[in-house]
Amino acid sequence: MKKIPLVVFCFSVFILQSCLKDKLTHTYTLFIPVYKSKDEVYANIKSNPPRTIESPGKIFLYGNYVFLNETDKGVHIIDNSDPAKPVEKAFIDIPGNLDIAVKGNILYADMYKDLLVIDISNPLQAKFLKYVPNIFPERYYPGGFIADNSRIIVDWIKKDTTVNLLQPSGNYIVYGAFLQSSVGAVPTAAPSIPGISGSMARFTIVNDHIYAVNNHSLEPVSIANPSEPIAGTLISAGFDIETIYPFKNKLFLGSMEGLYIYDISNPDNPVKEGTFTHARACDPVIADNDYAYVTLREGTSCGPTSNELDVVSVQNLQLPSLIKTYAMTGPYGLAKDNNLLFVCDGKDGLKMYDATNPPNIILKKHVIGLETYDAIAWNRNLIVVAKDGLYQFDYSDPNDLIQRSKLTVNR
Amino acid sequence: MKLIFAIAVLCMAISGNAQSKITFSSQNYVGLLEGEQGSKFQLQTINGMRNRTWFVGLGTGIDWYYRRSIPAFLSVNKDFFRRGNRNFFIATDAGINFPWRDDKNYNVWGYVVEKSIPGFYGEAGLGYKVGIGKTNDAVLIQLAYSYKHIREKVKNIYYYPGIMIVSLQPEVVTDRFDYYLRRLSLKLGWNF
Repeated sequence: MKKIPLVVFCFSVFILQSCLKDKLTHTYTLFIPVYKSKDEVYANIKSNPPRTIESPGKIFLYGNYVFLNETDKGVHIIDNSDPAKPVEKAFIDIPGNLDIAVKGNILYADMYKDLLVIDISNPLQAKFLKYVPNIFPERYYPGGFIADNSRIIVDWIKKDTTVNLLQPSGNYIVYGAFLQSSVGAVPTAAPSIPGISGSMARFTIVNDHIYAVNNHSLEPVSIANPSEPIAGTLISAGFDIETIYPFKNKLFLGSMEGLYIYDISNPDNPVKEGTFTHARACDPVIADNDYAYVTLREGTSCGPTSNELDVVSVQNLQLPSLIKTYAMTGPYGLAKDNNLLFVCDGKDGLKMYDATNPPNIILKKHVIGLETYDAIAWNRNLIVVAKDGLYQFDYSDPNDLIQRSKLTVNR
Repeated sequence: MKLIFAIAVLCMAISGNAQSKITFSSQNYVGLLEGEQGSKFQLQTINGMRNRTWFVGLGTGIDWYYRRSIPAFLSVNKDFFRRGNRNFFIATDAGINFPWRDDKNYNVWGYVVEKSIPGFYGEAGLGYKVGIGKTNDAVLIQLAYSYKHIREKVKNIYYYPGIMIVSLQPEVVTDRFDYYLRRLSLKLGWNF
């Protein structure tokens, strides 16, 4: 009988100890990749039924069509015969797609590290022709995620997850959203429309070459035969390169450290001609004969710099020099047509300047209420990619912007 | 809190039906909390009404265990095995555990805390009371199981599963850490 209290005591201690264990949990969002075989993916790279725009990215004009990148998903084909009434016609599924460009009847699009060649002779019956592997070798997944290279990730399933936390760790495979916007336009069906790259583009076409930038390199790809791209030699081009913009026989590379100017007189072998350095910032750039316009934006990966528009003289390409700095709110892409300069100032909307005198540009119109990323200005029609949609403005009046249409984003 | 006050009033009303003498009573404790996260101090004051063998009060204090916090709770005690001016009592507390601070400038697991959120607080235990003289003064000692919950929301920047691209809009989202903390509570107090 005397043993009973001892048994009760031991049992109590056992129960109490199990009750005294702390529990720490971490609740977060986990993204799980959805894979498909390569054959399945290639078979689906064609004009499929249109889908809603959710995360608009880069854009280009092709005759009466606008091609709009859906970030990481593919390309929307939009009939823009009437800019006041654009109509979504089809969607090309390209997982991992961010950039697009056109030469002739060929659409070039990236799919993760590869460059795809797609026949768009009839944009509503696009056909996948081939791919060139590893044109974008520096791409990686954040969070240390390593994909199965034998298959292709076509989607991600978002799932809220709670795990017991055994030790301090913040290294989960979690992802969120980038919105990527840019503009690129190349003529084919309508010869009057020139090829125009947006300021956020990471590859562009100049004559018979695609020039693609990676984080530290520039790669020329010959498209003398448009359906048979031939990769050239990778050139070490600088640090933290973000964008590429062509003007005449020059390439302007925007990096977080500054602006690099490359001469492409020999198209297979770009040669660095000048450098303009600035504080670390996100840095798209456009240029004309005498000036380059660079927007600097602070950001998570870009550093805590100021938000501004720099006007840089490139009359002496070997020695670009800062002419003037204009304060901005959080600028992204920009576009220019004749003396009108358009700046996408993020949450502060769209700004139109008279840049007749670059050292003293004058704000002519400020459109607020849209969060803008990039724009292309052509033939008095300004196409603007914004967080909530694809806008088109008439800028015939140099003092005013009149909205023609908006294709709304549905998230 | 409204619910706690309502329950307190209800308990007092119930006990009041059979009452012969309702007196104000205050219990003030210092103690130790022992658990997986080590040993930490605690301070408590519980103030309420006593009717015969029942005590109902509202308590608060400071709890230094793992994340410092301020519990606010309803406390109900029942005396038994009374021998002279000594007796055992059962004590139960239930309420809300408020975080000590709601700032945004400290790190948890490498994240910046955006907000600390109150959670449940509860305690149940056995006590022993030794009266002193003919007053209501008494020394209290109590051993209890104690539980508190804290939730912290932290900022996290999520990146799209794509790529090295020009970052335009990293999405800032909120993750959550929950701490379910279970301890042994040993308290020494003064009742008046």
